Parts: sequence; structure tokens; C-alpha cells
Amino acid sequence: MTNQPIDIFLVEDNEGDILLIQESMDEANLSNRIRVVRDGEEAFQTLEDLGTSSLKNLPDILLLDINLPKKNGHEVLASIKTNPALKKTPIIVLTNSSSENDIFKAYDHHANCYIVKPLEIQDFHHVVKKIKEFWNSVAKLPKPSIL
Amino acid sequence: MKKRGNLFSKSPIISGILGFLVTLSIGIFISQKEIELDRLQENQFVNQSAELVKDRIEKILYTANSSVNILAYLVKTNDVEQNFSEVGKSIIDNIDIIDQIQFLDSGKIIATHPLKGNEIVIGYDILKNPEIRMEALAAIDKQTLYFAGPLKLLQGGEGIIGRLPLFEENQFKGFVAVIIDWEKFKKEVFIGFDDEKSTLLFDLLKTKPGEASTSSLLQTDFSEADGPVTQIHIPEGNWTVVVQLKASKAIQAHLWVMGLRFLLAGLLGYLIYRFANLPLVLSKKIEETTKDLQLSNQRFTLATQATSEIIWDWDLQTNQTFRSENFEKLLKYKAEDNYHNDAFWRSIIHPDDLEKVTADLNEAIASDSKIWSKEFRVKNAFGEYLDVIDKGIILRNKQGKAIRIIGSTQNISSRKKAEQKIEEQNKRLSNLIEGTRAGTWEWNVQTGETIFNETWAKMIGYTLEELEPISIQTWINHSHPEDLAISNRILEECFTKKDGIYEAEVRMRHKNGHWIWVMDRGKVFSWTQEGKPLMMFGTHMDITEKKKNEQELISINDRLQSANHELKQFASVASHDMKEPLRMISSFLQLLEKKFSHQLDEKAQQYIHFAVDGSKRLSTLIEDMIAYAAIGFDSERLVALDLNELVQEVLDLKREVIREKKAIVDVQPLPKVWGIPSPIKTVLINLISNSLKYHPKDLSPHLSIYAHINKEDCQITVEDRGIGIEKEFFQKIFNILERLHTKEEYSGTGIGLAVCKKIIEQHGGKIWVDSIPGKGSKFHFTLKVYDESAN
Repeated sequence: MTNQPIDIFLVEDNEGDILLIQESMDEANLSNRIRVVRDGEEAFQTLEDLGTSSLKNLPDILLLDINLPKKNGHEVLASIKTNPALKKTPIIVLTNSSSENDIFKAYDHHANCYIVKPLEIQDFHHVVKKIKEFWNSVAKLPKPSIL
Repeated sequence: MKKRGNLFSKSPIISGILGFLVTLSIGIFISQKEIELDRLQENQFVNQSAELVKDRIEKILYTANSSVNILAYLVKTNDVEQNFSEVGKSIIDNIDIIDQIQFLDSGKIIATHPLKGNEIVIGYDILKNPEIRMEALAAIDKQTLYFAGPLKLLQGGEGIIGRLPLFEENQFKGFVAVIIDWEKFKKEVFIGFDDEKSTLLFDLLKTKPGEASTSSLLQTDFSEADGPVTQIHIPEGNWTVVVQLKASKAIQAHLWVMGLRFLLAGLLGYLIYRFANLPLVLSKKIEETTKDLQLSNQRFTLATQATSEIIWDWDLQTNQTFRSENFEKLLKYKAEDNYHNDAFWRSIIHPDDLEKVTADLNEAIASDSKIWSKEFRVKNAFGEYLDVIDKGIILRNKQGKAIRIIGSTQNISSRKKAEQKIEEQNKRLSNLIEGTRAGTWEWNVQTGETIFNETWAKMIGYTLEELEPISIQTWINHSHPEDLAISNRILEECFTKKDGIYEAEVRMRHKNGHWIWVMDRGKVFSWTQEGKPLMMFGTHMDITEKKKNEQELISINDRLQSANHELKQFASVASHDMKEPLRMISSFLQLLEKKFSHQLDEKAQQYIHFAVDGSKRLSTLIEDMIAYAAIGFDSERLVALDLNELVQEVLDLKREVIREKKAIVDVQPLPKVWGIPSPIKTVLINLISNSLKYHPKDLSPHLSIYAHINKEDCQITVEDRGIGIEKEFFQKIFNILERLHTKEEYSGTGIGLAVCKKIIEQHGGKIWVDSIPGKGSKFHFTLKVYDESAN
């Protein structure tokens, strides 16, 4: 089980959530690089820029909220997953919505995972910790070898 | 035909002879009576003649008598001698018939007048002459005047002498006598009877005293006479007058009458014979004619039997009508109804028809028409009316007067009924068409000839007149070009189909310029031999209003859908936008509590706890409300649901609670139902959760789940022995956000049962509750049973 730090690209407009996620990450004591983008349009634009310049600059995973200004999460998801340069990036939808509609829609657009933000702070920490653990050590990421 | 006068006509000859004899007898009898009468008349004539003769004689005798009595008086008075001549002269002069008078003393003539020429007789004693003596004695004997003679007189000639005996003191003294000349006497008596033309024969018979035989004084020959005879006796002279009719004409006069009568009798006898013979002759003739007629008659009889029609023969002169057997068959009358006459026939004609029939018939009879025909109704013996057609041939005499009508009566009830039915159907059809307010069209596909009804034209604002000339072009001209193309395509298709049914919704231009929508339906009813469509019928229905409504409905539906969509969107947005701030509150309060608990006192921690709890409950509430709003129903997602499995899944979900609360759950076999799995599962979760939740704290929950299957649906019941519900809340608990208990007693948002209600009702079922507070509740809901055999 490898345990090297991963690049996390967080698309989230809620400052509270950004803080909570960062705190949860800190709590898990895992040094990860977190990049935060606060609207959908910017998120896609940034990713596209990154993708065209070099694959190396792309994040390892993408934490995507649905309720986003300018361009919502579903749109961002669809754009990324239809872009050949970007679609390999695993996307974890992390949102407040537990609606069936959102869940189905997200998976239809090839989301890799759908997680409802827990209400309990404990659970929240737990979820973030689990995400890190899973993507850090369990899952094998489509990361080009540096060596 | 009945034979009449059988006995009479059996033997015409005997009848004739009998007739002859009877008539002859009567004739003879009458003749006899007539002859008798004639004879009587003849007798009377003879008698009268005899009486006349007698009267004449008696008149002479009377004259003589008075003369002698005068003389006798003279004798008595003794004047005779002095006055004899004077008195005698007076008598002779005055009485013509007396020729001479005499006075006799005893038998001796002592005086006579006239004396001259008679002197010879003086002194002659008549009693001494034997020839005279007898008659003189007879006078003395009779003591009255008695005539003697005729006899030859001494003084010459013939005469009759009347002598009156004279008595003095009963002593015969002598006679006074008168002498009457015989020729004069005869002349006086038989005057008028003595010529040859006289039909009578006379004689005077004399019976002399003391002699038996009589002698004829006139010597008349009676030998050739055959008529009636009469005799009168005259005592004064002992004469008898005999009168006989020379010839009786009684028979002679009646002979020719008798002959006529005989002839008449003969003629009558012959006539009777002929008359009696007539039936025989007639029957012979009839027989001959019958033979000739028999064949045709047989044919006629067979024809009347074979035909179902009544054959009738009406003699207008006798007003008798012969009707064939079918009359009884068809109309059920019996012979005793006496229907062979015109009056009966009129009596059974329907009152409403009678006047017309009578008028029609009278007109036909009055005209020179040879046939008569009429349809009307007649009543049968049961009082039911039948439709008949009466047809007759009118036979006329030389003057053209109708004398007889022969014809037939045909029952046309069934035809009439059929006609009526067709008429009714037509009427109904046209009523129907009118009722549907459909325009109709009939189109000859080959020629293009087309017929529309008034409604068709009216639908597009015209009258039929305005559309003239009408052809299929009329339709084309008023059709919407786009729709015409569609119509033509569908028509082409329909012409290749067997059923030939055509249907299209098309627009047509109204007279006012706007477009109306028409449902155009039709069917090919006949085909040409080549298999091409020939006649096509159809209807136009104005569906403009319907179309408008349809379009309105579509737009309303669209709006509704978008509204619904917006609502869902809203719910979705709400779930984010409401939950997120809540989660923030809750999360950071918890963080605060966690990280700074050592700096917070108990009170501060309690505050934080309430705040977190509230935000949690609010979050659940929002969650439930979103779920409620999101409940949708899509019939395509209906599947056969095995409730046994579904209940088991729910119990599995709840197994922690069940174990914790030591609940008893009794599940009976449940049916398969039509349902969408997840909502029905939600219903079961809610009901089972409630049952597990609402129970007295000191008792373990006890659940029973069972079903009652009806014909099409089933009733599922979740029963508990929980706290129960007051009756007034039975309805209320299914309303959204209704809660009966504080969250401290039993947690919950009050949405669960509302969700159940919504789901069950969307499935077409019902949900309700029975409950006794403190004993428990029964929640029932119904769903459609899935019938495996039907699917």
C-alpha cells in the first residue's frame, strides 16, 4: 500500500465546507496538496489549461460540489468527462443533495463516486478521511510515472 | 247447385198431364155450371111462355065467366026471357072472343044469341048427345063454368063451349053457355108463338071426362124437339098447355168455350211439362257447360288454393260476394259470420281507410276503368288489422255499367312491416345523422358525382344551393391544401384495403374565411368489376371546438409539466440551499463544542446541544418534505410485487429495532400486487416503523401483517397492540405535518402517513385506520391484485 501525497482539486463555493474539508484533511494528518476553485466555470477552465499544458499538472482526484455558481457540478462533470484530455481524472461528487435525480445524473456523467456530505461533524471527518485513505492507498490512479 | 222442385221436375210428362187434367176438370166444371145456368134460363123461358099461354087462356075464360055469370043472374031474376037478346047482344058486341051465347033449360037449348044462323040449335037437348053429355055432366058435377070441346058445332064450325050449370034450391035447372070460335081462340092464345121462327112448340091437350087418354088439340109434332118441356093444367077445360123448346142451345152455345178450355188445358199441360222439363234441360245444358268449364274451373280452384290470396267475385246487382277458402284462412272468419256480402267486407275495413277505399271504388265503378286496386287495412276475427292489397277486374254490361268485379286480396302485412321498418330505420338514421349534426357525403369515385346533405354545406357556412354545381371538386375547393394532400394519401391507402375505411382530420375553409377542423370518415361500399372503388359514403363532423380544446389542453399540460418541473427543481434547489446552511450551523457548532469544550461551561454546552439538535431535526424535516414532494407515479414502472418479499426486506431493515424492542412480528401469507417497488416499500417502512414506535413504554410491540383478497384488489393490514388513536384523528393523521405526540414522547416529522396516503392513492388504492385507544391500531390499504392467470 503506497502512501504518497496526492493532488486534490476541490471545486466548492461554500467557504464553510472548504474549511471543514481542509480541517478534516488536517485531522487525518495527511499532507496533501489542495487546490480550491470556487465556481464551475473557473474549475473547468483551470483544468482545461492544466490538461493542455501537461498531463503532469493535472490533479490526482477532483472533489466536485453540484451546487456551484456559473456552471453547476453536473455541467462541469459532463464537460470534463467528454474531454479526452481530462476524462481520466477520477471525480468524487461531494454534495449536500441526496436526491435520486442528482445521484443518477452524476453516475450517468461518469462520476467515479457520489458522497453526500454528512450532517454530523464526526461523520464528515470520517468521510474525508476515508476518501483520502482510499484514493491515496487503495486505488491506483492514472498517474503518469515520473520515473 | 241445389236442385229445387225435385218432385215437380222429376217426371215432366206426368206433371204436364196432371196439369192438363186439373185444368180440364176445372174447365168442364165451369162449363157444366154455365150449361146448367143456360138450361135454367131456357126452362124459365119455356115456363114463362107456358104461363103466358095459360094467362091468355084464363083471360078468355075469365071474360067468358063474367059473361055467363051475367046471364046466370038474369036467369035468377027471371028476366031471361025479356032481356036475353038485349043482354046477349051487348055481350056479343062488346066481347069479341064470344061468338054466341045460349040458355039451356036442363039440357035443351032454349035461347041463343045471335039467333040468326043458329036457329038449328034451338030445342036441341045436349044431354041426349052422348058425345056432349059427358062434358055437360062434368060441368054440373063441378058446379062451375066448364068448357067443353073443341067440337064441331051444329051450326057449323068448331068451337069451345063454356057451360055454367044453374041450380035452383040445389036442383039443376039448366045451363048458360058461351061459345068461342076455336080458330079465334087459337089465334088469341097463340099470337106471337105461331110463326115458324118461334123457337117454341106449343100444344093443348084435352082430357075428356071419363076418358083416360088425352088428345092433342093442335096436333103439334114434338118428335124433333129436344128442349125443355113444361105443362100447365087448366081445370076449367081440363086442358093442358104443353110448351117445349124446339132445340136447347145450352150445350151448343158452350161447345166452343169448352173447346177453348180444352185447348187451354192442353196448352197449360204442355207449359207445365215444359216448365217441369226446364231444370232437366237446364241441368243438361249446365252439365255440358260444366264439362267445358270443369277444366278451367279446376285450374281456377287449384289456383285459388295454390295462391295465398283471397279470390273474390262480387256481383254488384245482388251485392253477393263469393270469397275463396283463403278468406277464412287469412282472416280467421267462420262460415257462420256470413261474410259473402259487401256489407261484411266494409265492416272489417279499418275505419280510417274506409272512406278512401269507398271513394276510390265508387270512382272506379263510375268511370270506364277496367281495373281497381287499393291498399288498406282489414280486421281479422281476432280484431287485429292486416295490410292488404285488393285488386279487381271490373266487368261491365253493354251500356258500360259495372255489374261484377272479380279480384283478389293479398296479405301484404309482412311487406308493409318491412317497409315500415325500413322507413323507421331511415327515419332513425336520418334522426341519428341529424342528432350527430354530421354532414354526409356520397361519392361516386369513378365519375366524381357527389351528394352532400344540408348539414355538410352548413358546416362550412353555405347552403347546398350556394355550392351548386356540386361534385367532388366542391370538396377539393374547400379543403386546406396541406390537408388535401393528407386526405388523398389516406384515400389511396383506403382504396387498397379490404374494408375500404377512410378517416382523416382535415381543415376546410369556412364561407367567412376561417378554417374549421373536420373529422372526415367514410367507407367504400361498392367496387367495380376491376376492383376499383365505386361508391363511397361518409360523414363530416365539425371538430373545430374539440381541436381547440385539444390544443388548449396540450398547452395547459405543457404549462403544468413545466410548472411541475419547476417545482421539482425548486425541491432540488431547496434541498441544497436549505440543507447547506443548516449543515454549516450544525457542523460548526459541533466543531466549536469539540475544540473549545474546555473553555465552555455546562450551560454553553447545553445551548450548543439544542442548536445542533434543532438543526438536525430541521434537516430531517426538509429531507422528508423533499421526499414527499418528489413522490411521482409512472405507470410504466408498475410491476408484479410479491408483498411477502417486500415485507421481509423491511423487517430486515428494521431487525435492529425489532431485536432491541423484543417485538413480536406475525406475518401471514400475502398476495402479489401491482405496484412500483420503492414507494410501496416506503409505505411498508412507514407503517411498520410506526407500529414499532407507538407502543406503551413497558410493553414490547406486537405486530400482525395480513391480507384479505377481494375480486380485483386486496386489503393489506398492519395491526399493532400499541397506544391506539382517538377516532377524531383517524382522518387527520394522514394530513402532512400532523403529529399527535411531542417529539419527546415519540419522534417523527408527521410526514410519513401523508407520504403513505399519497403513494397508495397514486396506485389507485385507499388507506385508512381503525383503532381503539389503548388497545391498538389497524392500518389498512388496498392495492390491485396481480392476477397471474390473466398475465
